[in-house]
Amino acid sequence: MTLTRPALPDELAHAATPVVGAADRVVAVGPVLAPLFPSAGLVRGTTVAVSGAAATSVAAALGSAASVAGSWVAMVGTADIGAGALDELGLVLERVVVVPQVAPASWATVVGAFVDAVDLVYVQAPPRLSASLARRLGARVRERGAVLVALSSSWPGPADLRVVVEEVAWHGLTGEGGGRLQARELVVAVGGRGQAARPRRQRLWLPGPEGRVAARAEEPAGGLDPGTEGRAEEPAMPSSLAVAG
Amino acid sequence: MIERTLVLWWPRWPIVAATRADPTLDRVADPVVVVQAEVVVAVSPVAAAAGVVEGQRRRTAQQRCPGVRVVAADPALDARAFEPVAAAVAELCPRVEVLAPGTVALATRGPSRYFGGDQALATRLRQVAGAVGSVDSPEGPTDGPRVGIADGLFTALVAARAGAVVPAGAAARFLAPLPIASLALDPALGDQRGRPLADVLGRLGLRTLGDLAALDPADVVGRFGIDGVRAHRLAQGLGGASVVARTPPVDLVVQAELDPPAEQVEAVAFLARALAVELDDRLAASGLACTRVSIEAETEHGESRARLWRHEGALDPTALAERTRWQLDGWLRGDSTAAPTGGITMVRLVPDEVVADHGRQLGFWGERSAADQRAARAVARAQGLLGPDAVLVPRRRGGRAPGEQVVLVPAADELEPGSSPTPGPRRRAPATSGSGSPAPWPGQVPRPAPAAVHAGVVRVEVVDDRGEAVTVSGRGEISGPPARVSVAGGAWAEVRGWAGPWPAYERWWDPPQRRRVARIQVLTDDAARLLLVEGGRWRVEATYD
Repeated sequence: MTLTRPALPDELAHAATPVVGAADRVVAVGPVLAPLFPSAGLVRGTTVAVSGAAATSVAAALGSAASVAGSWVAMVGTADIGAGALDELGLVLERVVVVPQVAPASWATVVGAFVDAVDLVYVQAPPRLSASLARRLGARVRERGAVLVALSSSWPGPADLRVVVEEVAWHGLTGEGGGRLQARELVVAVGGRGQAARPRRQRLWLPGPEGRVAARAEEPAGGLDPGTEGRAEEPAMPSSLAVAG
Repeated sequence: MIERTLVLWWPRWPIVAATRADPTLDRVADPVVVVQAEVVVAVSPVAAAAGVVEGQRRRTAQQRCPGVRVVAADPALDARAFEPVAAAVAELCPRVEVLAPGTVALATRGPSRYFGGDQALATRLRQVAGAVGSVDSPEGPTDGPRVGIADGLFTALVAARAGAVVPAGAAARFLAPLPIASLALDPALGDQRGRPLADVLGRLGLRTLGDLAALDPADVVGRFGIDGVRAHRLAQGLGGASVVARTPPVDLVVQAELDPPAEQVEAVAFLARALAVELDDRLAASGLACTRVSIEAETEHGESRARLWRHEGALDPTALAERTRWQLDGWLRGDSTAAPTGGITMVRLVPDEVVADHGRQLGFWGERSAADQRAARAVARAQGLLGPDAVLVPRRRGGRAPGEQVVLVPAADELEPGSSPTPGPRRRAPATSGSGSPAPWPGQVPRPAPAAVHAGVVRVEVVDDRGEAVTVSGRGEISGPPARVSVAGGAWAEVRGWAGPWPAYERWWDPPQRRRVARIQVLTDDAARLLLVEGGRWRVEATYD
């Protein structure tokens, strides 16, 4: 006599599929940036290349939610990183490690050490990083479940996501030396493989007039006028100046 | 309950090992010193008579005793030479622990009864060890091993210096008249912490262990913290065991088999390193640190050798691998009667005593989650690869507003408790002038902070609409609105907007480094930059990337 397992009713079978907690495989990016990503965050084990005129700020902002939640952020080869901006963009300084200068020969070893240990590894690749080394690092990232954030458009390995800052516009300069750089509007596009094949775009404040990262309404109210100099006699709205991405 | 402990200690063991390795040296007749990092660590009797003492600089020792023979310290040689002695002791008593080359400890409960009392056991071991250790030359009565028996390891170590058997319960009385410097003998405090602590206590007028024992424990902990409490307990003859050691579960054992059998120590040492790392990972996963480990090896002919090693500061992979190498080196290259007849086929590391791991030397990031511990290990790894100053952490350093005074400081400084709260000259402030001097962050330029602060000097030319170089006067007035800039000799870019200048008189309190500078923000089609002018020359200090 053979025993057969009775078939599960369809509605139960659906409920019984193993669930992997979303929080376990995605590094959260916070509510403002989440709409840019198909998985509402950075999928563990992936490589993300960030490029454009505000790449460093965007990359730092991507890590802030995870940093606040307890993740560590390591930066390797980032010789020019501005520590003040990391603070302002929301990274928890106690969980940030920076290796600004590293010889090309030990670069991959150091990156590998951090990939094994922390959630977010930001890297500035040394010149002439070989594609095979980049691929091997990518494989290690996949195995360890970290997220590798390459701060350059020319990451030689395959990147799962490409975050591109397409437009930059600064607010706050009032002409003739008046005012100051105060707020920045960005258009950020995220594209890549699979689900992300169709690029998602969003207009952001980074930082906004209050110093925070914020979503910007799709159609700017009145003032955004790329390429022209702002005029001082517009007191209500900070004048805008655009920079091509 | 303090375990009654026997310590066999061979005075000047590095001298014994060195003179045995080099037949031209005579340990009794020649003045010999063993030197590590230019500091004398062991002195032969003749050199000691000339006024050479441990801890002296090599140069001083050579002045005191001009004919002295200087030998470089070699812990591997010491350990290898000591292995037959440890083996001889282990033949008579079970569970012999090697604390360091030249020193073994064992619990006396069983052996003492077997040999007819502590005194008989001490005499027996001294004879056996002395016979093994001195096969090549006659031993003076003062130059052989000494045995001490007392309650607890620390008291036994002190007793071994005197060659004394301290009756049970008499530890405090035995220790009371001894100098406070004896604290450095404690393996947990060690030379690094025990000696400075003893120095401070001595300067406070506590010259003997008895003086320290008489203090109120609350006062000691208040002033000297955890090390003070340990020293206080030791001085009272209570033993230092403030942590509960326990026998570990068997699944922590790591072992590896060698096929083909290894005849060379190097081959085994390589494997031992990997084993040590694996054991460390397993211990870390259980939140444990190992203070005593049994290193076991077997040969193809079934010979085996197991030895217990103790290290109060917890055995890290390097220490474990080193001890494995020492033990096997001593066995394989030992004298022919004890050496194995075949190659080594198996090495096993058995943690014998473990304690809860409180983070060891890395415990500075406050409360530590698993992620913090992993990160701390990666930091240590990167420091190992690149040097301690290459790994930086951002820290707030005072400042006018949040975010304006964040600087990168070496993680090593942060790792050391009691380090100066201000960053040293290695600080990577947001900008460094051409001379490389650190500059305070420009508090005058308001938020947001630029995301890229250039470590190197990036020159830039700034001209007004007539093509003349823009300057900033001593009063902070700009000569004309900047119209075009050329970064690092590149093409001219139109200035789309600018702000400033923000003049600053930096480090005015420090004449060699003070400087008068001014900054402007300049927006071009490709980027927004913070430019700095000093002495009429402009450079890009930072980019709002």
